[in-house]
Amino acid sequence: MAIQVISSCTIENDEIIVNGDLLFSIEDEVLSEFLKLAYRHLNLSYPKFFKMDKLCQLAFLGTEYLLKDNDITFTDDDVALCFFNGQSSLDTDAKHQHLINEGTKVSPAVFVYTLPNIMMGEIAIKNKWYGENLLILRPDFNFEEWALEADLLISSGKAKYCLGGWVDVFQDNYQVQLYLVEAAGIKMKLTSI
Amino acid sequence: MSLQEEIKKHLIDQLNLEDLTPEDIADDQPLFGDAGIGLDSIDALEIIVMLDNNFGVVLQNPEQGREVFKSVNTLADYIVKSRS
Repeated sequence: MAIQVISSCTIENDEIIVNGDLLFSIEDEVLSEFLKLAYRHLNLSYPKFFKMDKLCQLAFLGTEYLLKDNDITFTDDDVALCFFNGQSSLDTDAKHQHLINEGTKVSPAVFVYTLPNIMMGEIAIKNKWYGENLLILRPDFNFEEWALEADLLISSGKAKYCLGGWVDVFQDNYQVQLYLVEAAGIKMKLTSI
Repeated sequence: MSLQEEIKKHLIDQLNLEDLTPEDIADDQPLFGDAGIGLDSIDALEIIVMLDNNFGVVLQNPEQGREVFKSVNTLADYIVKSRS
């Protein structure tokens, strides 16, 4: 494998862990409240967060926590986004279907999130990234297979870094496993020039 | 509760403006753009739904949106005119 992990972030079981360190945790909250509190913990000013669905909020928070103490400056299309996801936008699809079934007017703000790849759009907009992005639906997460995709994106010259991994949610069940990776040994090569 | 206050409460609720309270929105403050409270095109669609659901007012001509959605005051004026 020709990539190396720079940082990793997991969000599960009411905890946010970055590079092995627990950065945020709170017990006995429903997911929507957990997400709001995790956002406020970052002291960000990004009101659009509250308009996102849970899938996007998880992807957004995972990325923000992952990059929180990162000193790399990304420019233009340095970063490719590559995400795996199991249940697509089912959580929001169900919400949208519920509004239809109730016979009330559907919500445009709900409807726009009935696609799972919107989560990558939210990350790209926030960070002003214009690089490649790839979303693969699959039943579960396998790091080795994700790393192959990331490796391809980097080794083919599409990006210097790849950020992504697994973001999945339905109702209050969720899991986030994100990585920021780069080409293996890239720092050594730069040093030796 | 004044009509303006009612509109603000619905805007905050419908548009998930969690960081704002009705007191944070001035009656004549622009709703869109950098000088305003930062609403976007999806929010404009939500306002159309909100007007219909909560005030029974249908925006007859989408071209009017730019004027009607300028501020809480312009929304209130439109609701009053549409009801009369």
